[in-house]
Amino acid sequence: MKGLFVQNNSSPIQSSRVLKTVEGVLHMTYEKMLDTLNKIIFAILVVLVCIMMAVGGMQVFWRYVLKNSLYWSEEVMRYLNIWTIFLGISIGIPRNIHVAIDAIIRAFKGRVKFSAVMFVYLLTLVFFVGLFGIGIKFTIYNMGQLSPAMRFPMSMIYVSLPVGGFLSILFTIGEIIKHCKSGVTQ
Amino acid sequence: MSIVGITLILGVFFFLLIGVPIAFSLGLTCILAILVSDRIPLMIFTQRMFTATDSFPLMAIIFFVIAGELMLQGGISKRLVRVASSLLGWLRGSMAFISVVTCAFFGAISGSALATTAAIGSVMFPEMVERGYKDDFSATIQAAGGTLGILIPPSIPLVIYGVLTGVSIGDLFIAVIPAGILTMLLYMAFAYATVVHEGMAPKEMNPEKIGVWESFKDAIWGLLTPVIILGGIYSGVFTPTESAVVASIYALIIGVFVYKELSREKFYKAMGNSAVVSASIMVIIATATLFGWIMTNQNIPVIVSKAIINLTDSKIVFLLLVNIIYLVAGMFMETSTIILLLVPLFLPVALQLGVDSLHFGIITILNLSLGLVTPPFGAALFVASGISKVSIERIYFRILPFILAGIISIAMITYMPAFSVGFMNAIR
Repeated sequence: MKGLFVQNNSSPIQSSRVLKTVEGVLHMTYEKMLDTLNKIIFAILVVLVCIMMAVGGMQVFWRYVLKNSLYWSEEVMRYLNIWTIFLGISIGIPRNIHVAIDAIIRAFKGRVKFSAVMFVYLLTLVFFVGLFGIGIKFTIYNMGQLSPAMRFPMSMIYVSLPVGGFLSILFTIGEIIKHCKSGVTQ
Repeated sequence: MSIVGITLILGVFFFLLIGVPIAFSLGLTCILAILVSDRIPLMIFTQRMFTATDSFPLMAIIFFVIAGELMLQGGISKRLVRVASSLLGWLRGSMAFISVVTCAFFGAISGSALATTAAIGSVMFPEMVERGYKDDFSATIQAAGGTLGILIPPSIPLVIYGVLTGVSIGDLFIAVIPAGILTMLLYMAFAYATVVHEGMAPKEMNPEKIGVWESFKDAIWGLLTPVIILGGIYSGVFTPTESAVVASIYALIIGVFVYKELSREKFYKAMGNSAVVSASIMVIIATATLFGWIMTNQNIPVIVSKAIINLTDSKIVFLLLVNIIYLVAGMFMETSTIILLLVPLFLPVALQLGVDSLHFGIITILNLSLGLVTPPFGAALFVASGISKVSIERIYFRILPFILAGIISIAMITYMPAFSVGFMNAIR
């Protein structure tokens, strides 16, 4: 009986082990990739914000000291800010910065809580898929448009919406993986 | 009400309550409403979100966040604490006073209540506990004091109100000052009563004996920030956004050359964090604006305004109603969301009943600042609980006297326009 028991179970255990390592490697690389992506986006944000601050300083200096307004400064700042916003949303997800009313979810326990949190992540995912999909349509639809002051192609700015949506999808999936892992270890 | 309107209201409540972040709750509801409606094109979704974020006045937000963050990383918190200690250290219950006053000082640099609770609370909470104050009281006072962050200019919610309604942001910044000072004094009075009543820290004295002048000299650079902001706007030299740019550059210079604490790593962290924080505020503005657009498209503001007018044509009753609704909404939702969703509903009625739009802005901000500390969902309470590790339930109990203080302050500001509009007219 004992021998049979072990035999019966040995092969599924082994295959599940193999599956787990494969899964582990996949998750590892995905999580590592997100980690790197997180750092890259953070660095880009720092650069964007620094340029915004410098251009803002120039605008003030030119207008009030040199008495000669820059015609492009406001536009540059606004567009950099839009990129900052839609990139910033994505790395805000692993930082848990987006405010939510989580009192009800925290009152749940065990499996129910696990599923409820998962449901919230899936809904968040739906929002970002919407932002990504409609954002692409929006960017393509407005393809030929030029900005008023600099005659800069507006699609370069509009595309920040689907890009932000796409990156946020990646980070939300990252959170879902983390959530599953914590659920497994519980 | 139309099926789209019902979708909007039910959808947003459902998503919010199950815990979807506020910005995405609003966005999801809008997608649903657009799908239900046969008249609204899908592209409105991105188009409205884009135009909401494509605003130069709203850029004041990111620069105020940067200025606060750079000052914080540059070591301003402990300098502000030192000034407040040198002024108030000799009083009974001084640490409680110092917490509140330092929050007010920090509020003059930062435009955010939660940032103020986090920045000052993490310095003051351990100090207070060490000197014999009860930990739940020490944590709670950081939450209450933090609300001064939006009641002392600059104030991010006031920037949003100004952009939404067209009221001058500079005027709002001036008119909110009496409300901020009044609330600060009331919080101090209620804190004092608690300290004496419970006999906390009976033999407390200023241990370091810091000279007032010395501590002022050190902190003066930080304390000058609001002078630059308000002075710049008021002399007509800068727009609010430009003054925020100047404040952030100023904070950078102070941090690097005067306080010499802003290293390259701290600068890098401060700039990136500011971007992420401002993005999280702006995405709420984006989706709330979209939500507001669909509400207007469905004629909901007109329906609500008519309902309110039918209910009452008395200014006093209306303002009382507004206070109650704000207070309840504040228990559940975040400040800028409430401004963007409720002000368009209330302001037309307010104007019709003869309430000044500037006064209404101050009433709104004061109510919402109290919303940040009202259980169960007051965000500042959670921040205070987070930095102090005091359980949220104990803070719920401790915050009650401060809520009473806030209600007194709201009543005075609401029914005595002299404290806001009158003050602004006197200054100009």
